[in-house]
Amino acid sequence: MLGPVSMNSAEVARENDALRAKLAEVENKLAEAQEVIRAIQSGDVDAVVVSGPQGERVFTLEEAEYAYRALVEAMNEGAATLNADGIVLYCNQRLSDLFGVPLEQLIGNSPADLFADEGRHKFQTVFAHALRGNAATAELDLNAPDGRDTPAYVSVRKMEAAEPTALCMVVTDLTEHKKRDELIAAGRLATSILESAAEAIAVCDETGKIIMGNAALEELCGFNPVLQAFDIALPLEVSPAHGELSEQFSISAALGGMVPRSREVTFRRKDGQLFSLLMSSGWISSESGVAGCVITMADITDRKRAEKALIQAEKLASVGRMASSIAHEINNPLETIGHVLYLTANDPCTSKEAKSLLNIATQELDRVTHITKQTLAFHRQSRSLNPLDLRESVDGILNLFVSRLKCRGITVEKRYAEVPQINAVSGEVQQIISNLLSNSMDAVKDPGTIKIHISRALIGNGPAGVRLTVADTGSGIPPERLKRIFEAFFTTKDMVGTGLGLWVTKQIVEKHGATIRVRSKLGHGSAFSIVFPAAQPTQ
Amino acid sequence: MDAEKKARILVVDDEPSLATTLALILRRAGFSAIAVNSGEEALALIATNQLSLVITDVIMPGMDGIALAKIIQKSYPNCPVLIFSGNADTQALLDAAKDEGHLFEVLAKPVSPPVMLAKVACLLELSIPAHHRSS
Repeated sequence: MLGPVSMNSAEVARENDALRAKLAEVENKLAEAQEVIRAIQSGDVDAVVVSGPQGERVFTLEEAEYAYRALVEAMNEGAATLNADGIVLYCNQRLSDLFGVPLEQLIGNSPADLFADEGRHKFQTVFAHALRGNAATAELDLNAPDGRDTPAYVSVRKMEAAEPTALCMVVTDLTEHKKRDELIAAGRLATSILESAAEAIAVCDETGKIIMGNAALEELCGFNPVLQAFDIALPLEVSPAHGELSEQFSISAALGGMVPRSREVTFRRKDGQLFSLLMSSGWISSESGVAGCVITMADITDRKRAEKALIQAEKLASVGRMASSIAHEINNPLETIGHVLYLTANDPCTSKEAKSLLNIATQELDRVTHITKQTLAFHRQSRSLNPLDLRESVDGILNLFVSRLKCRGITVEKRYAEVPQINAVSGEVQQIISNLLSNSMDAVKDPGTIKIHISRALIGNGPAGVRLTVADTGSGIPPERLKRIFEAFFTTKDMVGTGLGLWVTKQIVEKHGATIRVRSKLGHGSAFSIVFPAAQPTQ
Repeated sequence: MDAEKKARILVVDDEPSLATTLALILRRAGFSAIAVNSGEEALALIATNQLSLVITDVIMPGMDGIALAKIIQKSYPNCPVLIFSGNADTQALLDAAKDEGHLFEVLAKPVSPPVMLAKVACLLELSIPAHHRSS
C-alpha cells in the first residue's frame, strides 16, 4: 500500500507530464534509430553518430566503404553488382571500358545483351548457376561496339546475406593472358623447330651477335657460339658466283638484306676442317626496324664431294669412251702404214738408202704404236686376272706421269728387285699405282722425292708375295686422320680431293687378295705399301 | 712352194687399204691370199673355196668378226681363225663369245708384219695334221 497520500493532484499531473515527455523522447530516438538503419540499408546516410560512455562517436559510411569502393574502382577487373533479374545495380569504370559502353548505359541494364550470341548464352548459364548459390565462371568474348572481340573471364557469385538478392560479377580481360600464352606456345614451337632442324641455325641481334643457336650450330662450330659475334664464330667465305671473286661473308650484309637466299659458302672450322654450306638469311624486324637476322646453314659438304666424284667418274668414263673410239681410228691407219713400210722395205727394187730411211720410219712407227697401246690400253678394261709383272705396270704409269713429275721438279727413285709375277686385272693395278702416285705428288712439296720400291715379300710365314711401296717426302698425315684415310669421302685434301681415291684403291687391293698399309710421320712424309700374292706357277 | 699346196688365207677387214696390203704381205711371203671387206663376203667365199686360215677384224658394218669366227668354227672346224682388232670395245664381244664356249685369241692392232707372219705360220702348222686327217 502506498503511504498516506501526501501528494496532491497537481503534483500527480506534473509527474504524468514528465513521464509522457520521457516516452516521447524515447519514441523519437527509436524513430531516429530506425531511420538510420533504413538509411544505412538504402545507402542514404553518410555518417552515424553513436553515443557511448565516452561520448558520441561518428561513424561515416564513406569511411567504411571508401576504401572498398576505391579498391573496386582501381581493380583491373571489371566489377558489378547485379540483382536477381541480372540488372546492373553498380559497376566500376573498368567494366564500362571493357564493354566499351558508358557507365550510365550499363547501370540499369542486363550485361547479357552486351555479349555476342554464344557469349550471351554462356553468361545466362553462369548467371543462373550463381543465382542458385554456386559460384560460376566462364570464358567468353566481349563484343565492343567498335567490333573488336575481347577474350574475357567472367565470374558471378551470389552475395551472402543480401536482401534483396544481389550478385557480384567480376570480368577479367584475358587479352594479355592469351597473348602471353600464345607467346609461350610460339616460343616453345620456335625452340623445338630450332632444335629439330638438321641445319645449323643462328639467331643474331642487330649488332651481329649470336643470341640463339641450335645443337647443329654448336656441332658445326665445334663449340657453343652463342653470345659471340657471328663473323668471328663463323668466318665464312662466299663461294663465287659466275665470274665473281670469292669474298668474306659479313653479318652486316645479312642485316642489310644483301645476302641472297641459298648462297654457297665455305667454312673453315677451328680444327681446320672445311665445310661447304648452303646459307640463307632472313630479317627479324621490329617496330623500330631490323632487330636482327636468322641465318640457316645446311651442310652440303658430302653432297658437293659426291657431285665432284660423280663428275670425275663421268669424266673418266667419257675419256674411256673417247679413248676407245680414238684407238680404233688410230690403230687401223697405223696397221696399214706398217704394212706399206714393210712391203716397200722388202721390195727388191728398193735401194739400200731408201731401205735405211724406211727403217727409221718403221722405228718411229713403233714408238707411236707403243705410246698409243700404253695410253689407250689403259681403258681396255679386261675383267679377268692375268699374270703380270708389277714392274712393267709401274713403268707404264710412270711414263704417263713423266711430264707432270718433271714440271713439279719431283724426282722418282725406283728400286726394283727380281720379283715373281702377280695375278691381277691389269687396268685395276694401273689404277692403284696411278692413285698412289697422284697422292704422293699432291703431298710432296716441290721439289721433292717419291720412292717406288718393288720387292719380294712373305705373306705371314706362307706363300711368296710382291711388295709395292710408294713413299713421299711430303708433310705427313696426322694420326687422327690416318685412321680414317681409307674411308669413302674422307679427304685430307679438303675441297680438292674426292675422298674416293684411297677407298677405291683399298677395294681393288682387297679384291686381289692383297693388303695395303700406310705409315706416316708428320713433317717427314707417308709411305703406302701393298703386298700382292705372287702368281702360282701354272706348269 | 707348189701352187696346189699353197695355204689359202682370207683377210677380212672393212678398211680396204689395210686388207689389201696385208693380203699382199701374205702373198709376198708365199701364201695365196684374198682380201674382202665384210663378214658376208667372207662367208660367200668360204663356201666355195677351201681355206686354210681366216684373218678377220672385229668391228665391221654388218656381221662382226666374232660372229663370223663363230660360224667358221662351227661349220669349218678345220679352218683356224685369227682375230685382230683396233678397238677396246672388243672385250665385251669376246667375253660374250667365251660364255658361249668360243675361245678366241685376239691380236691388238697394229700388229707388225713379222709378228703377223709368225702367228700365221704357227696357226697353219698346228692345223696341218687336221688337214691331213680330213683329206
